[in-house]
Amino acid sequence: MARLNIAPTKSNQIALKRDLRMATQGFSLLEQKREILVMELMRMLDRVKQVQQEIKTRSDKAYATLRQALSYNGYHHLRNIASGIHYERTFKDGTRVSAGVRYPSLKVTQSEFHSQFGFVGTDSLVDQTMEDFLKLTETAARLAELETGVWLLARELKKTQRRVNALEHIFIPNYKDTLHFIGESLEGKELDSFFTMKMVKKRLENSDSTEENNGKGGEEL
Amino acid sequence: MAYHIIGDADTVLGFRFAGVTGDVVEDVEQARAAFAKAIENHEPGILLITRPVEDMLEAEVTAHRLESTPPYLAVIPDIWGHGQKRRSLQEMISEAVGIKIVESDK
Repeated sequence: MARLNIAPTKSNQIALKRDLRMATQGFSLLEQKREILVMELMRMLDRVKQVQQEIKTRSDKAYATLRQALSYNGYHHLRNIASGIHYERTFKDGTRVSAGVRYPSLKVTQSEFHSQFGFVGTDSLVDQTMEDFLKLTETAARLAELETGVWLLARELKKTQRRVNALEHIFIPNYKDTLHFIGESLEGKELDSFFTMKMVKKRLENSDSTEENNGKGGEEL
Repeated sequence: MAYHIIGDADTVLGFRFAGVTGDVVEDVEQARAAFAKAIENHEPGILLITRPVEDMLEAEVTAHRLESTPPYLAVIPDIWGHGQKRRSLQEMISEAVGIKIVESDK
């Protein structure tokens, strides 16, 4: 039995009742939020799995092409070619809000595949490598966006979970116990004062009647 | 910086073909330095790291993930197929955040 350390008075009782109502409302709201977060998280995790699969297929393909290109052209030759490649990219970083969590929505636009080196001294494998890796980076951007979202959601879920637990296991029982205690002691006090009132009334009546008797006695005298 | 990659020489070379700048790292020290440099300015962009690099810098990577600030991380396999055995995202989350995500979480 955990009780708040406050005096058992009527005004405290009223204040506590209000607090308890508030806590219960907050609890059910947070509980809902938690469920929404869990659902959203499950959905995101599914999508992450899909994108990871896609990354895997695309990277397998890209690396296979690169390996082939390496064996045909040699590392240094490829490095020379690669050093001249430049792609224009614009990166937009917006935010999306869902279930009270802000997460980034990334938009990367990259220029289309185009040949950036002389045709002499390069073969189709080099072109293919470039194309494959462009696709891979595109998918990687989606993965980054999703994973960041997942982590943000998980953090928010943890916070919500902690609040739900605090309300459920600490605040609401505390309030209830204290209210119980206040109710009991108020009742006791009421009984006490009722009894005192009765006593006073009886005494007053007694003294009244003796006074009356005295008065009568005086007249007689 | 829209993209940046930290990884081994061959993987970085591959991404050079897509016009991605990169740091070639061979050991933990280099990886740590490159990662710290890449995230220090919180420049909006996407930071690609290979799985071996992720394994090397577990603490740093997790810390950055929990912060969830740009640059946003994406982990990709490297050309050698290292680190295929992976912990799932759920496991990483339950380890770092301390919550387990299960369908009927009631």
